[in-house]
Amino acid sequence: MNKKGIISLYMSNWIIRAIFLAVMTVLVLFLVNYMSSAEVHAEHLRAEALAARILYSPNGLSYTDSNGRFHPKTVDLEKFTTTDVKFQESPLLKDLIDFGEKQFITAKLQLKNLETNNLICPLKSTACTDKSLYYNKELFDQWLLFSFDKNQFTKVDKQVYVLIWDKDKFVKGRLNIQVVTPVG
Amino acid sequence: MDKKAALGTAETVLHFISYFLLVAVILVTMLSFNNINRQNQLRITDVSSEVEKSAFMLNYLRTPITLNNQQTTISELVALAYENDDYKEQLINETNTIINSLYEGELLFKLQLSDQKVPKTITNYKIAKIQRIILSSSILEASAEVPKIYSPGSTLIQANITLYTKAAEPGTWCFTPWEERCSQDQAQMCACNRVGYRLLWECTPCPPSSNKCNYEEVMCK
Repeated sequence: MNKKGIISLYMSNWIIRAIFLAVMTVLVLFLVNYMSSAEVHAEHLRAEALAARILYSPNGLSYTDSNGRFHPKTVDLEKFTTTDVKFQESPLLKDLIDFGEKQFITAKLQLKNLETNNLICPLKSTACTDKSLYYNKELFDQWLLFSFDKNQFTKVDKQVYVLIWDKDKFVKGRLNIQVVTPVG
Repeated sequence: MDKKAALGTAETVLHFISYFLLVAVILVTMLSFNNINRQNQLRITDVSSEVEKSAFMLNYLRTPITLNNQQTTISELVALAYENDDYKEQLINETNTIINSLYEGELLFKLQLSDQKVPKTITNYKIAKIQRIILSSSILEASAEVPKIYSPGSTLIQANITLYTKAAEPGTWCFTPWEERCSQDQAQMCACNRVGYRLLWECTPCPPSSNKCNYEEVMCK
């Protein structure tokens, strides 16, 4: 092969190499971008955290006896029924779960007495049509309407076996926690 | 081909191989990082489910019951049933009431009691009959220690409870969309709709046209 032939062979080889390198670079960049921009979904974690705060905090709905002993995963009926009549929201939960201006979680709680098989009305003095206790009721109603859109909102239902402290004794109960939260 | 050309070709081939190797190394590294990320997420879920299990067991054991006209808790009934088979029936009934009213379905349970010497198993089903189903459908497994107050020896009874789904009726809940878990009396059921957090699915019959479950096609309530 003469000198011109060798040069043209080298040139053609380098063109192929350059194209191949470019393709590989694009592929690697695409993969890096794909792997590093994974979406983080914390909706279920938020729902878990909310439920945990309600049931495992002494300032939540759980019962603390006269000796100061805290009983996790119980519901003190006295606390459950201290509900604002107008909005059916618990002032206790508002103080417990305070995210300030950021409103990114709403919840509906229903407590069922498993011995009578009835839902418990969260209002102490008046009868209620909707036997539910809310956290951010206004937003809950709005977001629940759009919860069919899985790209916008996530609805998490959670059933928890609890013991209800009713005046002077525990009774079996089930707490349904329905959380609606924006995706992300 | 002369010597120079042969060398040039070999060099080109080596270049290509090195590119492939480079990409392969990057891919393997990224996939392993991705896997670590997933493992971490799983760990978070595991931790929260462990807490849930323990809390369920705690509430189960301190559930109030009436025993011999006296108010007491399930844990005392467990201690009694371990020593005396006369209390086995009541323990089964009380446990049935708790788990079935909680999940609104017909669940099975296996309660294994042991004081590290004598093991005892109490169930609300006959093992041989539904072995195939229950082996693949444990939904909750929790354990705790119960004070042994009615006999000498070890002071504690290790109590393990395992809950299983039985075949689910239409409209009731099951815990994964597996075919065998949702079948009953030879009628194939499908589970398609997650109704609860993580575990619960709602069972509905298969469409008449299909022989096999297609979870996407089934309309859920």
